[in-house]
Amino acid sequence: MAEHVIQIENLVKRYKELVALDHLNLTVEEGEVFGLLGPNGSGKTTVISCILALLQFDKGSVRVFGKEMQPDSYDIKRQIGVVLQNVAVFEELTVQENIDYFCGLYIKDKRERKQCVEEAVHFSGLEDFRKFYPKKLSGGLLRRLNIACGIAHKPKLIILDEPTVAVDPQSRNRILEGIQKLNQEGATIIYTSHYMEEVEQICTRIAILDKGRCVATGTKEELKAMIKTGEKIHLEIWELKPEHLEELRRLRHVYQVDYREGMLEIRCSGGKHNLVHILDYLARQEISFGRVYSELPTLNDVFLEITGKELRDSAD
Amino acid sequence: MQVFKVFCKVLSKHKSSILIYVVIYLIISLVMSRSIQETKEKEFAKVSLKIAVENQDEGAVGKELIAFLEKHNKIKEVPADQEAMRDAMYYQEIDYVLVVPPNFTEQFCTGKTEGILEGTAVPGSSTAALIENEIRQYLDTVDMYLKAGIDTDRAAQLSSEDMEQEAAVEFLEESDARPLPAGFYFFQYIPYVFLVIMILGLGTVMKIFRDKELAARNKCSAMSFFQQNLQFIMGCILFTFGVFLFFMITAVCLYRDYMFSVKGLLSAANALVFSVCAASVAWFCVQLVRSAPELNMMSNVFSLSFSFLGGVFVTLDLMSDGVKQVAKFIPSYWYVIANQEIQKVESLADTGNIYQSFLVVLFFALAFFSVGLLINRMKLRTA
Repeated sequence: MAEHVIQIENLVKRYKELVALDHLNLTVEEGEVFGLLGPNGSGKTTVISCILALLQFDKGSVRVFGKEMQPDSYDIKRQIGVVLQNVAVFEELTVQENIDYFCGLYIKDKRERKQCVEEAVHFSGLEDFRKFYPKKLSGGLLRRLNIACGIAHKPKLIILDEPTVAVDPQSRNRILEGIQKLNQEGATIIYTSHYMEEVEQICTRIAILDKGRCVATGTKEELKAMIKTGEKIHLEIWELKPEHLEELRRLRHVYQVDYREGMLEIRCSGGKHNLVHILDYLARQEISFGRVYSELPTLNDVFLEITGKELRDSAD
Repeated sequence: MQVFKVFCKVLSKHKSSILIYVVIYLIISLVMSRSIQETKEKEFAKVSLKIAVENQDEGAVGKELIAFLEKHNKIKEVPADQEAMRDAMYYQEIDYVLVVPPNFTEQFCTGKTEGILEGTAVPGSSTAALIENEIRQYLDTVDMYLKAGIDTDRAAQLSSEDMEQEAAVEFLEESDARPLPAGFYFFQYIPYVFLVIMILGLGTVMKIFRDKELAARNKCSAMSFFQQNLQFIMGCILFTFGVFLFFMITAVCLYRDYMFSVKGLLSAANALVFSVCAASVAWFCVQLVRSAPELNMMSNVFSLSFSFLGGVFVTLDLMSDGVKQVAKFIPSYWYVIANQEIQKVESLADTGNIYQSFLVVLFFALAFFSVGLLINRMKLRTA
């Protein structure tokens, strides 16, 4: 059985009246890419801050690598790499100097550090920008530098707090590929984001947070299996009578039908050949239609069903 | 020594803005010390004026008066006509035109002293007042002798002899009029430049290291807080001492004699104490600002207000009692007081209240540091 890299039990953190973390329980296993998914203000960054002992919490416990995490747990911190939400580098240092500085906070040996810095520069694709100052870098390169500074000392546990915010798609893909590579090399990853596509793409296990509580945990398949929606079918129909909607609603496995601005959305609870049944009905009723597509539920659907609100843009 | 190295690197990136202030300061302090020295030297020099004289009198008083004026001034001929006289005055070829009318001595001896001399000067001219004062002094003396029953020739002669005698001016040690050594002015303006350099230099580095994200990243690292703080404090001490040392070396180069005297030694000690206070003020300022432009503004606010109110730019003698009372709550005031006291010191055994001023400045340093620490704690709690 895999060792718990992180074990959080009954964690409570309050900011005066606001409960940021409400009896949160989480475990992260070795070798996982663990995703913390939730809207802005759901408590993702607070969890990270508690894990890193940057914040004092009111109740509960946080254990990292089997040991209680304290502000002076330097032996544990040595094994953790942190990439915080906002870019945290020195504007006055070059790319290489920045990586060397942060790596030097973990590794004292110059030769070893030089090697690590070199690998981090190569890993983040910053070879051509070694002598550049951060203000000369694009947003994507700056994010890559931020990551390089956090992972240069080859940590066993890497915590990435929304590392792709405001990054162009090309850089985002590169960052995500890099994270997967780090995981393949043996690092356990904790990845927070409010971009569900990213979390679906790279995370092996996901915890969905809302208002400081963990509302669901599991693999993406497990999470999707928790909800009623098995399939969503979209049809472009120019005209549809209320009686047709009623009849569609009565079809097998269909539990929700919405018709808005020429688009019909039908939600089915599992089952097979739902699309065939619907198309067959439309043909029989001689209802013409345009584009048709079917999709499986997303994590947004999971979040929607569990919390009753959209994951994206649902900032508290 | 990662933190210390980065401290130095960050500081070196901001050296240009600091150097600008250093250069400006050195230029100003040099120019000021030179100009004040020159002004002091000229203050008691006898001024020689150009007087055009026409003596129509045959008597002794008129003759002796001209002879008296000739001793300290340049006597010229009266221009031929009114227009030539106006031109000569306009072009400052002559400062005053004096016409001694016929029978002047006779009239004067009969007791008529007012309006018997014809004098012309540029309206509002201060030199005219000076000449008229000299003439009046001379004539008053003659009048005094005449009233004492001495004959006219003898009275005129005695008056000339009396007027030749000059009172010796001796400066008292306490007098502010005594020229101060140039080194004094170098140290007088040090609070301003120290405050600017510390707030801009040290403050900038402190602000960068206190940046929320960078601080969080440092806290997450495997280097202990103690190590990080120790290296940071080392950087601060080195910078503060480095700035002090730079100015002392400059002072030695510029004012060698002064610096190798008791006064120089005490001035250096005063500057060292103030450099600690300026570093503390920088720490305090950093707690109040959120951005580099705000810090820049703060450096101007603190350095200029402390310098003007503390008597750095405006001497304390010119300040009202009320302002002085307020100034006592500013460290630069105590620095200036100490700097003035140092000029009276002849030996280390006789330092008066200088050490007391040092202690007050150190108390201010402690106060600014403590308040800064308090604000920092409060900010961390509310963050």
